[in-house]
Amino acid sequence: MRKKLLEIKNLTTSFFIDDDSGTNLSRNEHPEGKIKLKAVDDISFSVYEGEILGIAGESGSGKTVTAYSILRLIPEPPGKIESGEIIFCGKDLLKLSREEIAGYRGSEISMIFQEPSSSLNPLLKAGLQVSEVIRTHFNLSKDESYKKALELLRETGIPEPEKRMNEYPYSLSGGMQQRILIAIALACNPKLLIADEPTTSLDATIQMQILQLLKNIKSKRTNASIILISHNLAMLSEICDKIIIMYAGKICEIADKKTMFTAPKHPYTVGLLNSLPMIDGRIKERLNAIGGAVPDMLNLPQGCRFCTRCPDKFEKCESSEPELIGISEEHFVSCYLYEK
Amino acid sequence: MMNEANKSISPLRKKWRKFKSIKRGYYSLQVLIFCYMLSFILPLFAGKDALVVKFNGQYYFPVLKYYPASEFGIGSHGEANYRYLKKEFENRNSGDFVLMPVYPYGPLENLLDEVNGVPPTPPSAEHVLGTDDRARDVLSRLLYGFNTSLSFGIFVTLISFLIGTAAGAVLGYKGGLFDSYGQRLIEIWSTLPFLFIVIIISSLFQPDFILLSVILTIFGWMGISYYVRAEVYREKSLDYVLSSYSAGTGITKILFKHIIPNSLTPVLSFAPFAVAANIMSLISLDFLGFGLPPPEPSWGEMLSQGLRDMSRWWLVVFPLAVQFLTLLAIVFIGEGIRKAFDPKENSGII
Repeated sequence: MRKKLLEIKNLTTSFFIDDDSGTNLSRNEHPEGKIKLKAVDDISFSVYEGEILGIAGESGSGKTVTAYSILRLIPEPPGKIESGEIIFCGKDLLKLSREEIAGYRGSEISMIFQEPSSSLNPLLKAGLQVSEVIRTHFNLSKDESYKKALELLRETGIPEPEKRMNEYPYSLSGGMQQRILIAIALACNPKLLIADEPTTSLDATIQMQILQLLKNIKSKRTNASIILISHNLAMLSEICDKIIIMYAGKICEIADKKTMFTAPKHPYTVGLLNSLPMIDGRIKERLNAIGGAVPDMLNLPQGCRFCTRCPDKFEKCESSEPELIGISEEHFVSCYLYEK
Repeated sequence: MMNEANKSISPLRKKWRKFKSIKRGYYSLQVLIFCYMLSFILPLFAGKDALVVKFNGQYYFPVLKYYPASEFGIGSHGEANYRYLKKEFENRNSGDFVLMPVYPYGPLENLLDEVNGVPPTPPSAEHVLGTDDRARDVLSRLLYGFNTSLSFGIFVTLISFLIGTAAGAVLGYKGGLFDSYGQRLIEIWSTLPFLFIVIIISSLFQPDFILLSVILTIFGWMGISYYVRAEVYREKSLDYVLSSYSAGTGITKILFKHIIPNSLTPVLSFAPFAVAANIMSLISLDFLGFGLPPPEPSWGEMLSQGLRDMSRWWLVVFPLAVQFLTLLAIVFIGEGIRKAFDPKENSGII
C-alpha cells in the first residue's frame, strides 16, 4: 500500500476583492463591502509518496492558488484559506503557527515558480542564493554550504557549475536560471516539490530538458513527490503519474495518466483533449474548440460550473453541483453523467 | 578559460563602469574627492599657523600645537603672529626661521593692523581675493568654507536618507492601513513651514553645525521616503521575494538582504542632488543670518556682506563662483549617476 504524503481535504481559498463593477448583484456580500471570490472551492485530493501529480486547467481555474495554499503563501488580505485541511506527513499545515510553517517551507516542501528571470535576486550571485537557503535550514559553515550548493548545481546539469556559482542572474539564460531555482528548491531534500508552470517561459528544447531533470530528481531521490502545475496537457502527459483537471476552482476529474488520455470521462476533459493537435499521422480537419468561455468567477452559473458549455448537460446539471464521485479506485469525476 | 570580458560582473559594478564612462561626472567626482581630502589638511596650505619654526636651535610645529607668543621671545599676548615672527627672524638673520603655509592667512583672523585702508579691501597682492568687512581674508575663508559646506551637505544627506529609507521601507513593506496613515503623517509633517521653524529655533538657541544638521535632517528626510516606499512596494511583489519566502527565509532577512538593496536606485541617484540642495540650504540660512555662528567661515554670510553693498564686488563674485563650481561638480556627479542607472539609456524607443 502506497503511503499518502499529502492529503488535501475540502480546501476552500477565497479572495475578498473590491466590488468595482457594480453590475453583479448575486454575490456573497462581505461585511466590509467586499465581494468574495472563491478561487478554490472545496477541493480534495492526495499525493502519494514518489508520485508526480499534474494539475491542469485554464488560467484562473485555481491551480496556482491550490499550490500556494499548500505552503500558505496566499497573501492575507485579500486572500484567506477559509476551510479544509492540508495534511502533510500526518500534520495539518493549516493549523501550524507562522514559525512552524516557515520551517516547512524550503525544507520539507519547496516550490519552483513560473518566471525564472524574476525569481532570482538580481544583485546576488547565483551560488550565494543557493547556499543561502542551505544556511537557512542547516547549521553549516560558509565553505560547507558553498560546496553543497556546487554539488546541487552539478546535479541539475548546469554547464560549468563552478563558473555559474559566481555569476549574476542577468548573465544566465532562462534555462540556467530555472536550473538554479531547481537547485534552490532541492537544497534541503524536500519531500514534496511544487513546480508552478516551471517551463512556460522557456523555449521548447529547454522545456524538455527541465522536465527530464524533474523526472531524474524523482528517480534519484526516493519518495520525493512532485506536483506539477501546467496548462499544457502534452507536457503533463510526458512525466506525470496522475493528472487532476480543474475548472473554475473545482476539480473535474482525477485519473492516472493513461486513463486520462485514453478514457476521459468528464465532458470538459473530453473537450480539452479534443482541442489538442495530435501528431499521430491522422490529419484532423479542424481542432474542436470548447464552445463558450470560462464563466466569470464572481458570477458562476447555478449548478455545475461547466453546464453553460457542456454538450451533454441535462436538467439536473443546471440546478445542483455534482460531487466528485469515484468510478474506479483511482479515477474520480464530478459529473452527473456518471452518477449511479 | 575565464577571461575578464565574459566574467559576470555585479550589476552595481556594471553601473559603476557606466558611470566612469560618463566623463563629466567621473572627473567631477575625482576633483571633488581630491579637493575634499585636501580640505582636511588645509592648514598645511593656508592658515595663520606656521608649519615649522626654528628658534634657538629648537624646532616647533605651531600647526599642530598652540604656543604663546612669549615662547618665541616676542612681547605680545596670546598666540604668536607667525607672519610677524617670520619678518623678525629674517631681519635678525640668526639662523632661526619660520616656514609658513603657501597662503599665510587664516579664515578667522582679523587683519585690521595689516591691511591698507578701510576693510573690506579689494583684491591685492597679499590678499588675492580681498578681505571682508572685518578684515578677514576672503580666499582663506572660502577655502575653509568648502570643507564646512561639503561636510554639512554630506552629513545631512546621509542621516536624512537613512531615516527616509527606513521610513519608506517600513511603510512600503507593511502596506495597508499602516502605510496610509504613515504617509498622511509624513505629508502633514512636510507641510510644516521649515524656514519659520528654523528662525524660531535659531532665536532660542545659538545654532551650530550639529543643531543645523539636526534641523535640516528633521525637515528633509521625507522626500526620499516616498521613492523608497514606492520602490519597496514594487520590489516586494516580485517573484524573487516570494521565491525566497517560500524557501523559508525570514521576513527581516528578506527585507534587508533582498528588498532594500534592490530599492536603493532612487537613493543613489538622488543623493548628489540632495547634497547640493543641503549645501544651498546652509548657504541660504547663513545668508539670512540664521546659519552657523559668526566667526565660522561661511559662504552665505560672505555673500550677504557683498550684497549689502554691491560695490564690494569681490565679496559677491568670488563666493558665488566657488558655490557655483562646487554645486556644478556635484550636479555633474548626480547627472552621471542618474544616467548610469537609467534603464532606458540604450533603448531609444521613446
